Amino acid sequence: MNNEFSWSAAREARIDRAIDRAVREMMQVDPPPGLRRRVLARLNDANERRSYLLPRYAVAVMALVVLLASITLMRDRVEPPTPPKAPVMAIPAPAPTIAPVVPTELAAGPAARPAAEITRERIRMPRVTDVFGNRRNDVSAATIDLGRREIVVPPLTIVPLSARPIVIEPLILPPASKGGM
Amino acid sequence: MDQSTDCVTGTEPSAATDLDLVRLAQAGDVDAFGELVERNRRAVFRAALACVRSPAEADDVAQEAFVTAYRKLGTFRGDAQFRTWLLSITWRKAIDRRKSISRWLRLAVTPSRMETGEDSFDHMERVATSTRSQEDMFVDEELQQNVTRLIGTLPRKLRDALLLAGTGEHTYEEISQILGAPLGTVKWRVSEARRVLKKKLAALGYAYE
Repeated sequence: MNNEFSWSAAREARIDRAIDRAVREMMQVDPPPGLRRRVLARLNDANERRSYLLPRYAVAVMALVVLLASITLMRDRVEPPTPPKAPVMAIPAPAPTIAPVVPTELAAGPAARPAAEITRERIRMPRVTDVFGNRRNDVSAATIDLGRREIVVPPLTIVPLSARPIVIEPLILPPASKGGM
Repeated sequence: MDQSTDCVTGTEPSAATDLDLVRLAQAGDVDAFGELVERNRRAVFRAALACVRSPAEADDVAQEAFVTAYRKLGTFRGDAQFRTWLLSITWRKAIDRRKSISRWLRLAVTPSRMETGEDSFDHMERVATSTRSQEDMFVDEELQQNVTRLIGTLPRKLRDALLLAGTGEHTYEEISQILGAPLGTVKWRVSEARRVLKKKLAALGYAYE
């Protein structure tokens, strides 16, 4: 028993020594000679390169700035003048009919539309402050004449929210056939 | 001029402390920095070697670390030891090198003996500082080769701690600061690395279970 223990301990110690020796041989290596000289040489090279490259970088940056400035100026010169805003007009309410209401501009065709309207500039819509017209003539309990039993209704005016004309497509139904087909 | 600088200027570089030399280097004295390189070259080289495990790459890493340290000298305020600060830079550089894609590609094309677990170092580059003792002469050469190979298979955290502790240049406190791990953790990693190695050796029939 004791003999076995001492044998195991010796084996363990041998492995410990092997690990120590392996690590030592791997790590206890001296750097190649001339490390100081190589480091100082790299420092000098870096300083020289920096002093050599700095004027070049400055020239390159200046050239880039001039190029960008010239491109910006050229773009500003080529851009066409902004056309005047198209007048926004109130479109009268369409009559109650099935026929489509086609505005005169659309009816005349695309050729009739002025080319100046096509622009990249945003058209600001007029601010609509009162979408229901003059509210002083609104129908209310006060406007009902109880004696005559008549209701005074002011003429209905529609002020569109958009300048785009409202086009109501005619509803065309096919003739009814038997069987629904 | 600062009085301390005057005092430092009058001293020989070999007698000056690291901090004195740092102050001189910060003032633009390249020779003073050269003296710092000379003093710390072995510690820096071996720290890099523990990480990249190739003397040629460790030399590159050591150079990069010194150059970086020189450029960042202005940020060194002397709160910590210069050597510790320098070793931290070295370790970061070595980790970057170890992770670099070009290194992996190079190893993939020409797998070195280091990565395959065989003898890790070129004997032409090896300058062992200690000779083998009489006791070491009796250690089985085959066991030795197996240990070297198995060290390469250890998890990185365990292997880094084991190899840094085996450099003979770094204390556990320094290793703790280099790795950014608590002192107890570093000691545990070294111990665990040895335990794992023994277990692997036992699997190869080198020890009783």
